[in-house]
Amino acid sequence: MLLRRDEPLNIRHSSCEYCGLPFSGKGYSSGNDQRFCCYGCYLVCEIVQSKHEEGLAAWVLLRLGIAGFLAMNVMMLSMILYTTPEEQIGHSTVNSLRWCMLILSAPVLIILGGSFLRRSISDLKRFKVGMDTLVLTGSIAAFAISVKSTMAGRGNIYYDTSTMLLVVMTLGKFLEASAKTKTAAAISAVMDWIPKFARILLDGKEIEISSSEIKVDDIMLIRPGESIPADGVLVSGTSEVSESMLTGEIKPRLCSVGDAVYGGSINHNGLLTVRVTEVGDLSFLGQVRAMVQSAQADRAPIERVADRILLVFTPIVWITALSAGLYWGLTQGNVERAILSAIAVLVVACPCAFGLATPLAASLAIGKAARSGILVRSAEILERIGSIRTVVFDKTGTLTEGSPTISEIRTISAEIHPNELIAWAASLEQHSNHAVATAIISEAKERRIVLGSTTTFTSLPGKGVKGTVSFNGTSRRVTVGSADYLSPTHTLPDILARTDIIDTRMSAYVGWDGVVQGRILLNDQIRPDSVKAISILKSLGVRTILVSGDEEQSVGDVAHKCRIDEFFSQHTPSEKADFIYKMAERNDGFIAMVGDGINDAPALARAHIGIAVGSGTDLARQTSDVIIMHDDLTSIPKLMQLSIQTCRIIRQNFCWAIGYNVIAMCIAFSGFLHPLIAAIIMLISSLTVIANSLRIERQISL
Amino acid sequence: MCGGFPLHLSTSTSGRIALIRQLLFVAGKTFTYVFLGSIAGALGVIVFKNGPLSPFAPILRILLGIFMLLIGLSMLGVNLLGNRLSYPSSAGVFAEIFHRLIREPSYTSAFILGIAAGFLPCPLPMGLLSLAALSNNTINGMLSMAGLGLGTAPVLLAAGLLGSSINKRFAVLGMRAAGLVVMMLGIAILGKASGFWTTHQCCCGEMSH
Repeated sequence: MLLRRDEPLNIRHSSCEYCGLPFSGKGYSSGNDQRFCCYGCYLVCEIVQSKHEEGLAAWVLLRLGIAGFLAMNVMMLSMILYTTPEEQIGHSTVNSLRWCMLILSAPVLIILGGSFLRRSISDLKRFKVGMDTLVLTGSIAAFAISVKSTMAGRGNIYYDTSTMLLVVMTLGKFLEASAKTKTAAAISAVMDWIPKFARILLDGKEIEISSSEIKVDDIMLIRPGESIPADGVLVSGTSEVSESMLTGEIKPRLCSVGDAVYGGSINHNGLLTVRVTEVGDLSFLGQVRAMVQSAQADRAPIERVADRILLVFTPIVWITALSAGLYWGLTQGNVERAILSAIAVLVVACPCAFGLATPLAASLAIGKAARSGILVRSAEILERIGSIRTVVFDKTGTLTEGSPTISEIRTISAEIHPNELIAWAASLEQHSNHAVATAIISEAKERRIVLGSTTTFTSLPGKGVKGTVSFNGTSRRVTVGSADYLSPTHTLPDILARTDIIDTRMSAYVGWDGVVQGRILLNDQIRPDSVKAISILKSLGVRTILVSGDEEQSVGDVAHKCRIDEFFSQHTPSEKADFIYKMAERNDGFIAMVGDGINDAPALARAHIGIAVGSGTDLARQTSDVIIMHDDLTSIPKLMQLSIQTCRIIRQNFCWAIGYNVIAMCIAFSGFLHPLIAAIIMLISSLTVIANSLRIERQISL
Repeated sequence: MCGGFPLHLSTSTSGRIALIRQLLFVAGKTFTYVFLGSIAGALGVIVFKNGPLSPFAPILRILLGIFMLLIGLSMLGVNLLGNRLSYPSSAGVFAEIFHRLIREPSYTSAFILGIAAGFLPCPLPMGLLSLAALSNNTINGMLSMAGLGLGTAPVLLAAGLLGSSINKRFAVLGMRAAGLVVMMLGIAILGKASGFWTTHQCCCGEMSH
């Protein structure tokens, strides 16, 4: 039992109204009980007025597209006005163009400005001035001056700045938020392992009902090969039950009357009757899902590079704007100029580059990683990967292959060739679907052995198989299984009984004619890239730890071979999660957990960064932040390098954007901000940010 | 030239709807080209005509001409710039947007898809944008880019309507043809920079003053 049911789960989290992901803390609120994990989700949800649905997401894009189309028109007209002398096209044409721009700009402010406005009001109520307030004031200020100039028929217009600012900011937010919606169904998808329908016995009759209708104490019938619909206790039948997707354990568990079975596991070879004990959220799978949600929600909020920079920059902008107003008001006594100067500072304070600085670099880095088979969940995750100080590994399926292969075949004498032993064993095992049988059959295929036929076959789940096999014209009664299974009917020669077997290996004995004729050792091999990956990580100063549910000897053996710093054995999934939690509490820096099974899922969710290897279970992949599709663990240090370089580029982007802003703010402070300067600053800073971000594509190799 | 997009827009629909979608896509793309042309034209006016860099304009033109020749050559398969010349896949950045628009190819989304596709870095528009920047006039810059949009329209429509079998072969030929055009533009810019066109009239209005 991996989870103790007597322990009530203390889950304190909210789910984002838009992306559905759990989060801790206050999050963002729309004022009507809707809560969002981030501003991007809030913004998108504000626009679509609904939760994540494909059609609605397209609707957001449509509005963004329309606003973008209008803003591009405004920009084109601005370019013509800025670069064409008035005397060349005539004053009336200029005025007409200005009115056209007003008509084109107003809808953009309505379409996109509304959500910025609501958010700004909500911020101001909490005495907080965020980026959206900065954007909104800049955009409205630019629009207001432009309208005044248009109506007066003279003065500067900033319609392009006003509209492009909103479009690019929203685009940046949309790019970030849309990446997160992909995980929307991830957690709820865990329950998909539960089959949709279940067969239950009602008044002695077998009826099929929806799995959601199963109640405690119902009697379920589960045929061989079927998934178990709910947690329960075996009332009749004996079978091997595969819980690999739940526990990560590759070996099926032998269950007999009285044993507990869990929803989502697969019944292998017997007809089972099960009395339901738990359903829904109280079931094993439900609890795992709750643990994952809880762990994700309790994560410390990520302090992003952009947040840190804006924390300092925003007050500076406001102080500069205020100073400009005060300076012109007090020294010159010119109120109009004072107001215009203060507004001009706000207009140039946040060019589009701010909205692009992070999303562009992060999207490119995430795209680059994806092309190399590494899926990174979000930009925030990418940013924090570079700060990983400890990597905790799971053993089976992560550092090891996860599927046993034959490592040694020993026969009692030279008269029996290993091929012969494999031939007899494989001929019998072809009727079994056990992991050991699979390994023996694939070994036979590799050795190009033509299998014989089996006339009788009996299987004792978890112990072994026996039957009559005809091979090369000879017929024998063959038994394959554990030493215990063979011992009542077979004598075990000393050569095979020697305990020179390391505990990490599984063994299968093959016997006929009352004698054990040979022993097949199976080993779950260490992945070739594990040792290399750990060595690179250590060279980067990262501490490596192995935490596994397996016995100490086998865990220690793998830790030693991989040269891992520390190892911990016999940890249940919740203990693994606790282990990570305690480490995080000790403030040992960012912790990454690498795993593949559902038993790793709570730990994956609890870690600062959860990394799932691709061949792992669905839950591990869905709850992790990073998925390595090709299972190459050396991707982890490579990804760290990518993250470090991406963060560097993001900081550079902000430096560029702020650099241009400071120059522009100085000009605005002086009270002589020409709209062309504002447009050029916006354009150049955006282009610099784009060009700098594109370096990720060329300069960083994965 | 983003032939894949119009091809997709014509799948699983009737000929008339497909044609309208293609036309809207091309219209969106041309609109973006014109938009980019206006910015390039305005920058050209600021930098080359009135700006502080105007004394260096001839040198910049020569550099631009050489660069375009190299791009053209690389498109023809002669890559003298090595790995330094690679077009970043900004589609990665906007993949989410393209993905959504392609999934639901309504008339409006076909138009927006065209607008978005116009921003994808492509050698031919980049070459024409350089030309727009050198035209010393914002409206001329917009017109030359509009010409590019409309000029490539039949090719894109054909790519979309003829189907994938022709498309692949066509893409290689299209790339080669575009490479030739970019090279010719490079030669034209070099010619202008060297003063060749002051004595020999060029077919391009903006090149010959």
